[in-house]
Amino acid sequence: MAFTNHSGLFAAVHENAINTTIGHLMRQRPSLFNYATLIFTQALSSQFCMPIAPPPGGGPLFTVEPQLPVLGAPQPLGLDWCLQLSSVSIDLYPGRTLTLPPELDPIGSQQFALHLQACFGLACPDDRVVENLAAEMEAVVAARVLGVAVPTADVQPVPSANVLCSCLDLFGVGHFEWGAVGGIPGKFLKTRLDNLEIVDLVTNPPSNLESMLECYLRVVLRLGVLPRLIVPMQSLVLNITKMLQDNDTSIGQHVTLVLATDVPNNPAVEDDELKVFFNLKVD
Amino acid sequence: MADLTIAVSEAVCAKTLEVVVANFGFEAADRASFGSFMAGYDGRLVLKGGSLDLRDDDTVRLRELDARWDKLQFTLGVAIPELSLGGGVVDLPSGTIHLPGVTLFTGDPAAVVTVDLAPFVKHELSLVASPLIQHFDPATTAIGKHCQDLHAALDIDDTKPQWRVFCDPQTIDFDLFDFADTVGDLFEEAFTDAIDKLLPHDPLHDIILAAIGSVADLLRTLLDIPDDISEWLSDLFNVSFGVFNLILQFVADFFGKCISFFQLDDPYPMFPKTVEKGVELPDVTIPLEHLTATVSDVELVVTADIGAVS
Repeated sequence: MAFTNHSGLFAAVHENAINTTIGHLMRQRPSLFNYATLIFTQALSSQFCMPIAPPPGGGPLFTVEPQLPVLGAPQPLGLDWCLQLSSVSIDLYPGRTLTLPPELDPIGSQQFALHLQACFGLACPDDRVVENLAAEMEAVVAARVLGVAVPTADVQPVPSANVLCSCLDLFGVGHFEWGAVGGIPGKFLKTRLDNLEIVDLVTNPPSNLESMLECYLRVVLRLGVLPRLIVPMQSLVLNITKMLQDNDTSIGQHVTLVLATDVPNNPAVEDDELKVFFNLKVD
Repeated sequence: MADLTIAVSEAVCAKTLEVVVANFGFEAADRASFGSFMAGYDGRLVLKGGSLDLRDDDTVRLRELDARWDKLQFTLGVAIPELSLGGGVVDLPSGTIHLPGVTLFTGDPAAVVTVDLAPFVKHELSLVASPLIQHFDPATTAIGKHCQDLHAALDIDDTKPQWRVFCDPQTIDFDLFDFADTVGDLFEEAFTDAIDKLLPHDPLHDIILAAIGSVADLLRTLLDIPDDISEWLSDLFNVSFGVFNLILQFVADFFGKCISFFQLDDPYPMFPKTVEKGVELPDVTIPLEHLTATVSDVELVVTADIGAVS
């Protein structure tokens, strides 16, 4: 069967291409996948949960983030930490690349599965350091109680040479759909999360911790991440006339590539590929 | 299964040709002096017609693409020295009289002849070609000296690896003078003008014009039969017939394998360089492998793979 049976132009990306491209992105721009406090450039550079290879073209290993505040401390104190997305991969229907947890397996028609492995590392201070800092905190509190002015201070790092790491495997299943966005004309391509599962979060005794985390992540994805990924249909129209104009070639006709509407699913998630069907329109 | 697949239907290819034909225009004008003589030209070339077929043997066939001159004016001029006749002043006892005079050949140049050859010069191109994909590596891919010179003249960058897509011509049939269309057009224009002058614009006028159009089309078809046979034979034996077409084939072979009409840097810059939080992040590139183009009778398919992470 021809690729263009249902449209004038057909484009498909295999899941291997998506995953390999993510691999290139992780290798060449690791700062998109690794977040840590500044100390990880120096004393803790060897303490990442997962080692980061220097990108071949140069550039930072991670994005610098502020320290984790010690809640309630009379003077601002911060703990060093790192968060690493060590694996990101996608499996498109019918789904043979990822080994999904039983709760999600198998994925349905037009669905895709996503796997994230995230590692969180906390620089945990030893008792001696905490005792010394505790004495400082007591001194600050005592001075305040006695009415002695205590100058405000910047966040003081809590020194530590020991990073405790914990990694979680997160699997999600989703699909694409077209729909309206309240009050705005036109259709939007939306990415929907159908289910989410954290694997091997073992607690003893079993508790609601895994469910709580999954609930939180599900809410974060549905309300914080996925709404940002909606794509208006008109932005999926490729304006050939404008592309030619940008290359110093003007034509007297309006030529566009528009999404084909007479195919059942566009984009389609099938045969391990993400497929898009276009038609050429000349006005 | 390839990592990336793009397929373009034959209908889209044909529509693309229509857009190209409708929007193509080539204008050239110049004038030069050679002592007492000058010569100049002023022309505008447009395209008409033509059809595109995709074929099972990995080739694309362009049929009878007409090139027409909206105007094709050649001008010749001769400069003649100015010549003054008569004139002058005559003093008489009653006063001064200015005699009438005339100056000849005051123009620059003095005598100019312009002929418009547009109605008589029509071209037609038919060709069979196939996409040819080459991975260019500056370290290992050899380029001939003439091709190198051409690249230098056209500012083509030969310093980085690229995938290059060429149009490899198999056969070419180019009619420098499209006799069938020229005669057909002249016939149609002459009779249309005559009918316009003789008859009022009524249904009979329109019927006669339609008949003239049909006769002109028949004339074009009949006169084009030898050329059609030549194109058919070229296609059958995969060789261009005629000395002119053979020369053209030779030239097109050179350009077809020297000048690519599409190129992709390899590795391809997928995400451009950017600055985040004051830090410059270099562009993210992906290696492209196994770029191929295949033609069937229904579509043109381009596939590629993405190279592994090193």
